[in-house]
Amino acid sequence: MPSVSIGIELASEPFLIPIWFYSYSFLVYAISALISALVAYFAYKFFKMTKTKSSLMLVFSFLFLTAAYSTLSFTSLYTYLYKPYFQVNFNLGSLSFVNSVGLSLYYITSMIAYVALFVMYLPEIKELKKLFKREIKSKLSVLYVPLWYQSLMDFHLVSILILAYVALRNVANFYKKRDVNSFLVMSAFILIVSSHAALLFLEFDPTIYIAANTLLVAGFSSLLIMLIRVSSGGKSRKSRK
Amino acid sequence: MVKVENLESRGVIGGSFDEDRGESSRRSRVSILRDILRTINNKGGRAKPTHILYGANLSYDRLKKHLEYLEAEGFVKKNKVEGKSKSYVKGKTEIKIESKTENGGQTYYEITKKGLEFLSGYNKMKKFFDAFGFSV
Repeated sequence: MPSVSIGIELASEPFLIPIWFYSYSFLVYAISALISALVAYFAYKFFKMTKTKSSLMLVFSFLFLTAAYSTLSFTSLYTYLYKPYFQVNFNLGSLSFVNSVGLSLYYITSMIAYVALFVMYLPEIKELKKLFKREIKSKLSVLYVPLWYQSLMDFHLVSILILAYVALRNVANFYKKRDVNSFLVMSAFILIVSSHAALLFLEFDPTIYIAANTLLVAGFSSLLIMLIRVSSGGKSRKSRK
Repeated sequence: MVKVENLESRGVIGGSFDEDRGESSRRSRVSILRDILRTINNKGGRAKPTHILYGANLSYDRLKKHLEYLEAEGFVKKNKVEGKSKSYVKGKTEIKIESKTENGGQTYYEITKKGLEFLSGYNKMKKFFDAFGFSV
């Protein structure tokens, strides 16, 4: 079975991911991008009605997530169809070049999306906001940008930290509202964090890649179910009280 | 373990978690707009400012501000209807009493198609933002 080493080395020795994994990840990332686009579309539709900052931030973050997962989807497809393996007649460059450009774009766009989500869930305390604005202007931009390029591990660690906070806020929201829609959004963020966490252990077993992708698509499916419930106008039932 | 409610009441978390009349007991701007539009719609799609004022439970100044916004955004249309003048004869002179308003007409606010769309989409929008933990 043909296999390729992943774009950025995690361990001292590069390890191999079977090529068929990339057809699965292409589907997972394409579905994730599509659902992100749907969430952004809904948020935009409601932004036009409310003109609130939170709806605009939601549009912004999910648009960047759409871009991030579209890029990953493309790189996965490119890897899967790469000429040496499948003799497909298109060539944008070497596999490592396309992967490094694609992954860099993914890191940047997804990190912007996660930071936007993080800012959105910050408490409405003026001092905290001021502090965060000061931090983002001075330290964060200097601290995190170079980290993305250091290794895949750091990117996932930063993503986990940011998304864990977002997930925590959604857990609090679910415990307050106790309805199905908040449960679905809470599950979505928990599953997305878990997929990043799973990727930290990729070093030990390449099949974790499949598990991480499954967690990711499960998270986005949870968001899709919430969107279907909202758009169908079904009454939101309290899950338990 | 610190309870979620305690954190919210202290403002540590939940800054944007208040519902229409949540813990802050203040309505959000969007829910006020919904109340205004709903009042107009319940009055058959056309209502006087006084009726809206009572229906949406607002002060005159706040109502004026919100109606200006709704009109500018095309959710409502301001109309003036000529007041019915009453007349009676006193001796040889006919006395005409014009409508109540100083400019001789009664102001009505009519809900537009966009306003109706806002009302029908409001519940969906509320559910969407509630799911993410944001108030509308």
